[in-house]
Formats: sequence, structure tokens, C-alpha cells
Amino acid sequence: MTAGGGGTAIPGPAPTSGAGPPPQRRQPRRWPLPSGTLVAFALLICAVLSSLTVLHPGYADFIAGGHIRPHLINDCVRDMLREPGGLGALARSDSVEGQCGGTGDSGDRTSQGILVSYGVLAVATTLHYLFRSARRARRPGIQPLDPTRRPALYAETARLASGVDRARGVVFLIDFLDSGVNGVTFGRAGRRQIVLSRGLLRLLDGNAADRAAFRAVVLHELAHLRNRDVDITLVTLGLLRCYFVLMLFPRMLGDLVNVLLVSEAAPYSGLLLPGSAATGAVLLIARSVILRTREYGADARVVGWMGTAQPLLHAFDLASAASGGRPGRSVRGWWAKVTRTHPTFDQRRACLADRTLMMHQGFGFAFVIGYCLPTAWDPVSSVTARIRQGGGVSDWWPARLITLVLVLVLLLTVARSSLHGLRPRAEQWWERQPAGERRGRWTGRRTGRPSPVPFRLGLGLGVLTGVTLAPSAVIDRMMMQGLRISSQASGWLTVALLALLFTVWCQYLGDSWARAVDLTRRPVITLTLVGLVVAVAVVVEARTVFDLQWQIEFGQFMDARLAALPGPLHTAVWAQFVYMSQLVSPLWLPSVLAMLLGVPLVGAACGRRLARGAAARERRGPPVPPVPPVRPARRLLVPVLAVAALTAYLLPPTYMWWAHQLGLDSLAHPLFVAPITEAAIAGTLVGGLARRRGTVWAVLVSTAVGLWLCRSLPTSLWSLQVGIGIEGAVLGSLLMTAIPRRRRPVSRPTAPVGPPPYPPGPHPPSPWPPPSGPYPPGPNPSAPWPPDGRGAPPRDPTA
Amino acid sequence: MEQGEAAHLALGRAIVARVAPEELPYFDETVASLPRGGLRRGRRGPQEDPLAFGGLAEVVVTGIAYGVAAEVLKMMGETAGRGLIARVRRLFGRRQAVEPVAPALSEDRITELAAAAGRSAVLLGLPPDRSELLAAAVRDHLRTADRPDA
Repeated sequence: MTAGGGGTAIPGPAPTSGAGPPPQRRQPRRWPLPSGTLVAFALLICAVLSSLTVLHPGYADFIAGGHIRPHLINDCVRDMLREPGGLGALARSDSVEGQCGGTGDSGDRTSQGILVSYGVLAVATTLHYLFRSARRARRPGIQPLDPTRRPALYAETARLASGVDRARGVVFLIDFLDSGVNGVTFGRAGRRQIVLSRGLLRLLDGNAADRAAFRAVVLHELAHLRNRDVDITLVTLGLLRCYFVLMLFPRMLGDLVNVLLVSEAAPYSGLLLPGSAATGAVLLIARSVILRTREYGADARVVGWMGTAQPLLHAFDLASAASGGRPGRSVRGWWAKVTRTHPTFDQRRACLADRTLMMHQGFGFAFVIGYCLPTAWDPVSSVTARIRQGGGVSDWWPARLITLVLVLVLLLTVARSSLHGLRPRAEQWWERQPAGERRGRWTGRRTGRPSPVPFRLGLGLGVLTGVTLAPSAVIDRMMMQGLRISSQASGWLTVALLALLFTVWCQYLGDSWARAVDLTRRPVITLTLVGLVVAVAVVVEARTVFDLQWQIEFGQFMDARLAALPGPLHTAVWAQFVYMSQLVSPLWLPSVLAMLLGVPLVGAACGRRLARGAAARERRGPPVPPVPPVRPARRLLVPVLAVAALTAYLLPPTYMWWAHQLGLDSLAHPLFVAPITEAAIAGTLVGGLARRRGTVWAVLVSTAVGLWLCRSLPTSLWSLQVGIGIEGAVLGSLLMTAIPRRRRPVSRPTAPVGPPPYPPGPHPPSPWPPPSGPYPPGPNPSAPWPPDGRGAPPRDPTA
Repeated sequence: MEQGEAAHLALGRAIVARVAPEELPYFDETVASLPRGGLRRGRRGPQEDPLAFGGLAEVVVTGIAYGVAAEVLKMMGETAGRGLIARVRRLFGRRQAVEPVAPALSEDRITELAAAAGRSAVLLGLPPDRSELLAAAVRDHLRTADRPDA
């Protein structure tokens, strides 16, 4: 699974540490997927761009020629709200847009100010990269490595660097004031430098294991150069330093001055301060994700180069022992945990055994994605933005472009996770085979992966936090006193829930396409095409989701019955109304079904076909029996029937109540309600009894049943009826997830038996480390370097 | 090399040989790398460097030893009552200044200087157990250096 290796997968021969020569089979060149570091870096850029829209400092507006005070626009909005009718009249008004801060001589230069902020940040970051990258070399105690005084060290470092791409010309330095086992890589392009600590130099004079550990540390630093981590890291650090010093802190200082000295602006500025602080925290989390994934990638590269993890593990032991076993600052407290720049040595050891930590992102990464989404939409979807149309930034602000990038980041992250999810079972199967019988190609399904709950939870909470603290929304709530807190909170939760469901679907999509991407010759192209299709669809519908919140808030002014409802019910009614409005369009439901079900099913079908083709190509004799997938047990029939009955009991009255609340009583006719209910019951039953993908089965069955039952209705109503039936079935199947499955012993998959695709003879042992336990010491620590040219990370033994 | 500087280096080297012999091969280069004012703390820089391999910064015994040696020699000069005079002489005639010659130290004074060295080492970040070792090294060195035949 070369693609699954993410950024660590590079073309090249695999290292040989086993007993026999590897089978020489020419592999087509496969471009690796973007590394986790690169994906996280793209996320950081999105976070910075999103936050700069409304949190740019006032001096940027001043440079741009703006002379308006921000609170004047807010005062304008408040004046509009004071007019007869108040907020309700404003909400019902057709000419609400562009009434405050319009174009002309209003002095509002927000757009230009944002551009000035971008310019200042770009120039400062560039200067920081160019002139501050080598600052570390000027620290006390650091001296160049003198070849005349330490010829052995010089020769060894030169030999190691000569075998690594992008490391030629690197200058080694010695830090005489660091007696730990350490190394640092830095410097801009063309002037790379690596500092070796004095404690590290001692290892070169030690025994064979110490010398191997020395090489591992030096190769780890060289791997940062090979992985292009140095540029990404230095740009990240420079960008954040410049952002904090030039953008965020001045902005917060300005808000603080407003709070203390300017009475008119104090309420708004006071509310913006928490948003600024949250933005800073999110950026720190994004920075930490970049730095941590970078370390995992470099470690994996070293193992690939050396053919064994033992030297690196020994280096970890020495580095952690040299620190006296003290718990570093990084492990204290939750905040330190999510913002630390290095994984702990225990995590790095675990990642060498199983790359789960490198391939699966957790809560923090998902939180940043979630936070960025509403932040990117804040300038165009808030009420203030709509009123300021023309004077604001909604005309040009690329919210859709940022959303596109964020969705691609999300999909790439999920795809890397799904591709790694393919790995454990293949490894286990491979390890179970006797050494002489390792042959064939594993074509089973994924098993074993960390819980997806932290990722989903992180994204949902990120969206919730972003919606809650979005600056324009904060100002809206400050000025529009008539809005109910319960409605607003329910609106935020609705948006967060939709994001959560989208995340779950993305993980389903990733799992469906994982095998196809793994087996295809062009994984990046395949994944890019799928990602672009999904991202474009999301971008098209994103406005509907992010407008939902203010629509819910304003919904209470549209109808007295809605205003009388409690906040959550009001939100549910309005959200259902928006869904029904979409269903009115006859093409909307087929398009959504094609996206939500069609794209994953196509991926699963492609994967199945590719797996069959791969197995057929490698077959030389008797047919290879497929690896039986581990199938979960069915649910008990009685609870499933109970939930189906509950659906039948609750759906009609709920639907009729909803229609009554919106004054659409004609929709409550039994002619409409009966097919909806039957389709929902059928979907709920089948989804509940399905072993896997219950929701998918529920949607498929309810669609089929709904179309069958609605054949007598006018065609224009099909979409509406089927859509509601599907909704009922999905809700029923989601309710069904609370029912536990029957326990059932999991049958071990039988190993495929067949003639070897490789020539007879000794076969190489799996270069992948076993899932647990110590690494076997390999013969490579004392092997000449470079072992085989550029070196490569471990390859899938079955590929 | 001035006599005072030689004594300074000798005491520092003796301390390192006792407390951290593994640093002895790098003693001269480390001393040459020390900042002009000496180390203000034994452990340098932030504990978690974003660019580093991941190991924590360690105590540099050579830097501490060099600083403690300077402190001990200074206290010895003050003991002789010539610290201020020597500085004034150096100020007005550097070339004609005569290096202070420390008188023979009593056992009590040696013990006092060693204890002060241990305290200074703790302040610079050396762990207490190693600080005691450092104090013992200072005591032994001063006793040895105080003997006329040494």
C-alpha cells in the first residue's frame, strides 16, 4: 500500500534486511499522497486566512486609507433596529442588504485593510524565513564542525548526508552547551545547517549500538531535509510569530483599549476578545499538529533507510534517559498536550511499531478544521455582513475557496486514515504465514483502527466553537436583542450536527474508496478526482448550511407560531422547512443521493473489481479463496421491530404537527403521510437488520419503497415524498445504533493458499515491524551507507 | 595565559573531572564557547525546542564548573583583602598590575569555600547530589593546590 504511506512513500527500492534477495518486480511509479505535515500546513494557512478577515488590526485599515470607526456601522445597524417594527421588520424587509456602510464615501476600507494585512503578513513571513532561519547558528556554544580536529565525525556525517536527497551541502555544527542527545535542523533553502549536541557526539565513540543510535539521530535530522519539513517548519514558525506579533496582539490590544477607554465601542470589543484568544489557541493547535506529524514522518523515514528501528529506539532511550526521566512540560495538562511540539518518546516508539499515530489525526486537528469552517463563512453569512453588503467583504471574500481547501484537507486526512486501516489485517495475515509461503495478495477488508470518535467530536466541537465565537455573529447577537438564546444555541448545534454527520460520511467515503485507491496505479489522481467532486458539491451547498443559523434566528419573526415554540423545536421546524424547500427542486434529491450513496458505492465497486483483477493476475494454480471478512452479528429482531413500530407511531403525528406549525396543512393528508411512513418503516427494518452499513441499507430500501408507493402521485411530488421517507428511515437507523449487537465469536480468516507470484526460493521477511513487541535487531546498523541509493521507507509486502 | 586564568581553568577542569568526566574531552572547546558573562543557568534554552530531535536540554557541567571556579577564585581574592586593590591596580595600569597571590588557606576556609561552591552550583541548576560532588572536588583541589609541594 504505497499510497497509504502518505508522505513517507517514495519510489525506490526497499531496504533489505532479511535473508534473501527481494523479488525484482518493476513497479510503476506511484506518486505519494500528501504527507500529514503538508496537509496540516494547508490547514494552518486556511486558519490564518479565515481569521484575518475580521480580526485584522486597525492599523491595516488606516494604511488602506480607512477613517471610519467600526462601531459606527454597528450604530447604523442599531438605528435600523430602532425603527418601527424592530428586528422583525428588518428581517421581513426585502431591502435589508447594503443599508449600512455601503460603497461611496463612507470611509469603510475593510476590504483594502484585509489585503494590506495579507501583504504585511506575507512580507514579514518572507523576511523572517530569509533572515531569521539561521539565527540558531549564532547561539552561544555553537561552533562549526572542524574537519581537522574531528576528522572521524566529519567523515561520518558527510557519508550520511551524501546518501540523502536534498541534503547535499548541508553544514554540520556542534552545540557544546547541550550535553543531551539532540539534533536540530534549520536554515533556508541553499543554507541548510544541522546542529549536533555534544552529548550526541559521545555516542560515536561508544559501542556498536551507540554508534548506530548516533547515525539514527543524524539520519532523523537528514530526513527532515528529505521530507521538506525544514521549510514547512520554519515558514510555520515564522508565519505564526509574525501573525501573533503583527496581527493578533495589536488587534487584541486595540480591543482592550476600546474596552477601557472608548465607551461606545467597549461592548463590541469586549466580546471580540474571546474570539481573538480562541483564534490564537486554534493556531497553536494547528502548529503543534504540523510539528508532531513531521517528527513521525522523519522517524518512519529513518526506519526505512536503516531497515530496522532498533537504533532509533536506542536513541530514544538515550535521549529520554539523559533527561533524567523527568516528565517533560509537554505531558502536563490537557493544553500542553494539544499544543506540544513533539510527541513523547513513548508515542514515537508506538508509532514505529504501528503507524496509527502518524496516519490518524485526532481531536485537535479535527477541531481546527471545524473551527475554520464557520470562521471562513462568518464575513458573508452573518446578518451584519448582509446589511453591510458593499461596504463589507462579502462580495469578494473567497469563503467557498477556503471551504474547498478545508474539505480537501478533511478528505485527505480521512483517506490516509482509511488507507492505514487496510494495513493491520494484511500485516497480521502476512506475519502468520510461514516464511516460505508468503505469497499472494491480500484482498480483504479493513479491520482495526483507532476510534473515530475523537475526530468526529473534534470537528463537531470545532464547528460549534467557531459558530459561537465568530466575530460577526458575536456582534449580531450584541445588537439584536430580540433574539432568543435558546434558538441561537439550537442553531449552532444544528450546524455542528450537520458537520458531524458530514464527517461520518467522509469516513464512510474514505473506507469505500480505500481499497480502490490502494490498488490503482494512480492513487493521487483517483483521490483527487473523488475529492474534487465531493468538495465542489460541498461548496455548492455550504451556503445553505452556514446561512441556516441566522435563518433560524430570524425565523421567529416570520410566524407567531414559531415564536411561541421553545428554541429547539423552533430550530427543528425551521431546519425541516429548509430541507423541504430543497426537496421541492426535483433534481436536488437525486443529486444528493448520487453524491452520498453513489460515490461511495462506485468506490467500493472499483475496489472490488481491482482486487479481483489483482488476484487473477497473481494466480498460478488453484483458485485462491477470498479472505472472509469479519462480519458483525445481526441485531436482535425484537428491538429492531420495536424501533420500527416507534417510527410508525411517531412519524405521522410529528409530520402533521410540523405541517401545521408552518401552515402547510395540506401536506398532512393521509395520502401523503402513508407512503412516507411505509417507506420509513421499511428502511428502518432493513437498516436495523443489516450487519454493516445499516444507514446505507436504510436509505436504499426507503428510496425503493418510496418510489414504488409514490408511483401513483404526480411526479413533482416524488422527490418530496421520497425525501421525507428517507429522512425517517435515517433517523430510525440512527436510533437503532443504540441497540447492541449479539455477541458472536469472530472467525479467524483463513490464509489464501496458492502458488507464489514470486520466483521460488527464500522470500524476504516483512519489512513492516510487528504490531507489538520489540524490534528484532537488524544487521543494518553497521551496514555501509547509503545502502541502496536514495533509500525508501518500508513497502507493503503484498504490493 | 595569566596566572589567575590558569588557576581558573585548573579548578574548572578538576571539577569537571570529578563531576562529569565524560565532558572532559570537550572542556577546552566548551569553555571557549561560553558566553562572556558565563552561564546564568546550567540548562540552556527552552525545554521543548520545536526544531530539535526531542531530547530535553541537559545541564552543562562544564559551564557550571567554570562559573563556580570563577566564584571561588573571587572569594579567595577577597579573603586576601586584595580584591579591590587588585582591581584598582588593573584599572590604572593593566600592564603593571600584579596578580594577587592567595595566602595559604585554612581548613575552615577551604570548607567554607567548598560549601559556597556547592550552593552556587545549585543556583546554576546542578542537582544537589552532584553539587555535593562538586563541593568535594573544590575542597580537594584547594587542599592540593595549597600544599607547597603540590
